[in-house]
Amino acid sequence: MEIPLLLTASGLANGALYALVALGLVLVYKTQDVVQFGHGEVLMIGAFIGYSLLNYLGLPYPAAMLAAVLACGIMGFVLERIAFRPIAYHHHITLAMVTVGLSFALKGIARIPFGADIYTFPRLFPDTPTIVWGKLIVTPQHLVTIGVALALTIGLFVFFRSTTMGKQMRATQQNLTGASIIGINTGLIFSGTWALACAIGAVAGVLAAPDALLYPDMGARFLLKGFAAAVLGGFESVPGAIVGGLLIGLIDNFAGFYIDTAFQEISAYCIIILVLFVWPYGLFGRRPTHRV
Amino acid sequence: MLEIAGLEAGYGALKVLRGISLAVPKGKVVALLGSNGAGKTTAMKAIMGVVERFAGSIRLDGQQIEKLPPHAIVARGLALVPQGRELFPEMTVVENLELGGLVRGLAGAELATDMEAVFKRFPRLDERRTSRAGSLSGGEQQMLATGRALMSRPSVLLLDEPTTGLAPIIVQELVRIIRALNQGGQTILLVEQNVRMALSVADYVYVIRGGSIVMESEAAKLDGADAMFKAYLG
Repeated sequence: MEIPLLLTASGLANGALYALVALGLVLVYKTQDVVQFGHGEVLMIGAFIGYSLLNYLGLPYPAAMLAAVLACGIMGFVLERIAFRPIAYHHHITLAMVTVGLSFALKGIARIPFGADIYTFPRLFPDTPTIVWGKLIVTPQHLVTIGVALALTIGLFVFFRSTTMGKQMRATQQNLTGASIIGINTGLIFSGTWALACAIGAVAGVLAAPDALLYPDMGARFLLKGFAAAVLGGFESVPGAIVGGLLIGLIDNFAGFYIDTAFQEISAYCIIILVLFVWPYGLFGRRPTHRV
Repeated sequence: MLEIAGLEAGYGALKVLRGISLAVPKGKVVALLGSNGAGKTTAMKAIMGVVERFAGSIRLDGQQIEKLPPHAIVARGLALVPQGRELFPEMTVVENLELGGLVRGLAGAELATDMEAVFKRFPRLDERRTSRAGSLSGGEQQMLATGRALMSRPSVLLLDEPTTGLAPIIVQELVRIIRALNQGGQTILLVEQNVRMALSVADYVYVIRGGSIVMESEAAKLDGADAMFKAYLG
């Protein structure tokens, strides 16, 4: 019983990270119909900014992480405005290729000061021992990850349901023309969505870095897992991204233990292929219907 | 009052509107009639800033609006009920109406008052407050789209083919609603293919063909059976 519990705890922690990555992908996709292939690098940039503020400027841990998240939010806002708005109505392949370019650009930018070295990202509670509850053993970092992801999910739910900006984002996601003609500033919504997605990516980055280590190529793995989570969840569903992420984390851990650790490397590909073949609309996606 | 002069608009290299001019005086219902592909919907979208405008001026209550983005145009007092209704299908009737009032910054009691006025005008929506917009019938969706536009308290309401795809009984209901709105002082620009319906509510009529205004007249002077009028409509 101990091993399944252990696998579940760490699977949920990893899954929470994948869910956050998937959330960023889904938000941008729902609003602008573009898969943001540079999202893994946003996570990496967020982690490097947090690391720099912590180590070089000596900011307190929470302040450094918060500043990193804010910085990535601003980066997302600016990126959308200068790189994507001018081509917002181009073919989606064009947009996707620009995001691929963004991925390479961000990796290149990170390599200028940091090279290709691997850095150790400090933990929030480095001296707190592993927590043991009966047969359940959880590291403080895992608890922080799950707690932050949970709080963020609840916060986003409230944001989308109760705030004016959140409702405008939902409206724009559902009908861009409709949003324009009722007076929603859709340009601001585009930028705001990118800001939100990148800020969430940065949260994932600073939470992942203590375990995943910090290096310019760290984003690729998270992008793949997040992509698989989004596909499993239905790609247009925010709850789907959360559930998909948690499931991917659990599948990864259990398959890695009971089948082979090598399976963890390919599990995301297997899940993407399986879902696209068997269940193309994912767990929470809807088959599009048209009134005739 | 809405005044349009020499408006040219289209999609990329395709010019659909070839310099149309029309006026919608305060408190009046003006109809823009034309057959399929004449440029009616493009005219509506160009006025709202959704379609690229190449030339011409658009003045709303004396203010130039042709260079403004759609959200700024709505804030100045124009509201469009589009042909495809363009509702937010996953949101409830109440949420759709709330968003309609957003541009005016309506909140709290003011928002509730305006929403109740819409429900009073459209009792069927009142019965379906918590239904998703996507689950409503065609007639109900048209009412919701109209109610949503009214929530922005427009000085000019643009109705783009409101009767398309609706049963005759619903069309009659819409005619009654348009008349009631106009009697309440609402200025309306109505785009229609349904000539009989348009003539029954309009004060003044323009006919558009091939992206140009080819005929205009007071509605009362027009006979729906007039040969030239019919010819212009194609």
